[in-house]
Amino acid sequence: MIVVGVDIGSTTAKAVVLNESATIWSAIIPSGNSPPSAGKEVFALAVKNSQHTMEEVSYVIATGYGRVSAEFANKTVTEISCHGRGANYLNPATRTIIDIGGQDSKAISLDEHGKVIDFMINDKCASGTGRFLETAAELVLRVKLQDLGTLSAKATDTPNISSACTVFAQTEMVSLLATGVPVENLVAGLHRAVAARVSSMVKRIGIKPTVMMTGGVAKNSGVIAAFRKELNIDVVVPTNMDPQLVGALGAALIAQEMAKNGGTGRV
Amino acid sequence: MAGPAVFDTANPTAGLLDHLDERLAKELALIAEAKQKGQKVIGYFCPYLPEELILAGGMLPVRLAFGGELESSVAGEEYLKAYSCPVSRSCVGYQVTGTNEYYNLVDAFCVTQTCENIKHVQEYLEKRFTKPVFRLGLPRTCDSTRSRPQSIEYFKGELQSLRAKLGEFGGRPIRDLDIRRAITLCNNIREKLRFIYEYPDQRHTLLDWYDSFKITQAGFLMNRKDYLKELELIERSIIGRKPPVEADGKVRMLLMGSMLGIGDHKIPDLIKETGGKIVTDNTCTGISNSRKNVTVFGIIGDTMEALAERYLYNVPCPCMTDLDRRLKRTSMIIQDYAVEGVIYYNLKYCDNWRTEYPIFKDYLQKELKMPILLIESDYSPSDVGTIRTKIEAFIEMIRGI
Ligand SMILES: Nc1ncnc2c1ncn2[C@@H]1O[C@H](COP(=O)(O)OP(=O)(O)O)[C@@H](O)[C@H]1O
Repeated sequence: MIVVGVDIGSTTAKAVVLNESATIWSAIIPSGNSPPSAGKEVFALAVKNSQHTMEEVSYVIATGYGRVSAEFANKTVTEISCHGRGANYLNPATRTIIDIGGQDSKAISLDEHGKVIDFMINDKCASGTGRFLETAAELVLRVKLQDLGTLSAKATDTPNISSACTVFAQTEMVSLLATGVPVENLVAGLHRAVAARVSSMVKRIGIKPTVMMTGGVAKNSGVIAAFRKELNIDVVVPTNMDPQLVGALGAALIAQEMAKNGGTGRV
Repeated sequence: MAGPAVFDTANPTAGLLDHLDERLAKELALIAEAKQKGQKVIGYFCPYLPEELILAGGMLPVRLAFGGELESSVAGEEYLKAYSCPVSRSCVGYQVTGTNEYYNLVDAFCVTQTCENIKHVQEYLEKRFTKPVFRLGLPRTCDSTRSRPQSIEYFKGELQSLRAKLGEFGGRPIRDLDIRRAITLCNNIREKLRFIYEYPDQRHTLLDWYDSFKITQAGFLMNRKDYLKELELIERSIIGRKPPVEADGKVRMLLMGSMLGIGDHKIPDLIKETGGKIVTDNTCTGISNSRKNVTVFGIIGDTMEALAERYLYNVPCPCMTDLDRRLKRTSMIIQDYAVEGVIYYNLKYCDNWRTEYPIFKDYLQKELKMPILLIESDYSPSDVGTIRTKIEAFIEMIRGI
């Protein structure tokens, strides 16, 4: 028997398959323009990757912003609880989670049992999201998203990008480029701008170590470094796991628990 | 209604509000008819305004606490800044759109000087839309024993001048006797509301909050004498009914914060949909307005003083400096209604509520160990998805998954 957690985000759909001995298989695909079909697709893909069959799936939990449309799920759970569960599983010392996805950012506070005790979600402002990094990299700086981390490590200076609005921030970057500021410095500035914006939210729920970063943007080592500076505290990423999968992992862990308790959810 | 009625125990409130609904549907026509006969309609916004004065002057009070309508809130941007709260933008916006029939029937406005936003509303109503506006000044400091007598004195003076202006507008001076009668009517309404709202007790109320809230808000619009009759009818028919056995497992929530106007359902609906349950509210449009009666001491008692005393102290509005009182009040409500989580509703750009949030949060989390969730929103439907996630996550946090 296997259980599956499916995290249908604004940018990517992720699925994690768990068997009884806690072996993990996964899949990530773009959400595209149809979150419902992306969810179904990534679910099937992850099960295929696990070499199991659909008939062996005993429980599915859907999370993420597209969770409501996941008809294949037994139950839906919010991203907040799933990231909490996933982060707690990967590192039980985690007390604060910073999750930055494609279109929002979240700060979650956990107690010593891994229980969520407070959280904040920001989706009002794009400047603290993965999308902002994507468009800045592709449209303004003309570099690959995956290279942002290594580029910013080479920066000799971190220019200030002061605009809180992403559109103006991009204009600002264009004019900085025009004055001859090297791309890697600008990338560092960009990372600092994102970290600063999200940090003010994290500070409101209170920062307790260990701080873990999850979500797709946690793959960008430059953002992690910027957070360390901004919060003046160590920020870790999961070691044996793609941080982008933490939400789906949490969903799978909750699914496992529900399956054990004979949980009957919404089918 | 003779004999012991048999109730559907699964649905103990079935049909309870039908009569009220029917009556309310006729209200606009009835107001228009009264106007034809020469009666004046006075619109007002905040519950700091004693409607007893309007009633005593033989006029019809209508509390214009409408909300939730995007169109009017956008229309108001023509005059007010886009970052004024949606309530204030709608107040002006309805003048622009002409779509609110109650506004269209108003002969004069009474405006309490509460927050910055409403101050501007009042100016536009008068200057731009050339409506008669009667202002009621409001002291801000009413919490300390030092400031109390001064504040009451000032407020009483303001009430006296409002009384004079209303008298002039209505065509006859407002007599003390009429004020006393109006006070009795309003006190009766308050008592009935408290009874209905909290029947049989605060923790296991018969009517759910959504119905109670609807009943309360009907009283903003309806002819007050008829409203009292409606309340009496409801009161009589709930006696003996038993609330449903509480095994629904829903998280008991207190909804507090910015004005929750007639028509502003977004947050209450989302709470219901996500498996929460509002058990009571602490907003300026809920039961808090009916908590206290106006007490005039005997035949020689000063009616204006009694009104000043009652109205200055009974609204949960952060334009006042009585933060400690409001914190304490909130904590009492939490205990009385066995609240498990607090939703703090902040209408965007309602700066007073927003600025106080960190203080409320600290107090609730640290002193009362009470989870609290801030929801900032306006009348646009664009944020429904995120708010749903926030409330769901909040429920998961309280209940566990
Ligand atoms: N390899 C990578 N390097 C840097 N950033 C990445 C990488 N892959 C994804 N991202 C970032 O992650 C974001 C998507 O994160 P994700 O958690 O999948 O979002 P959501 O759950 O909202 O769909 C993208 O907008 C992008 O900024």
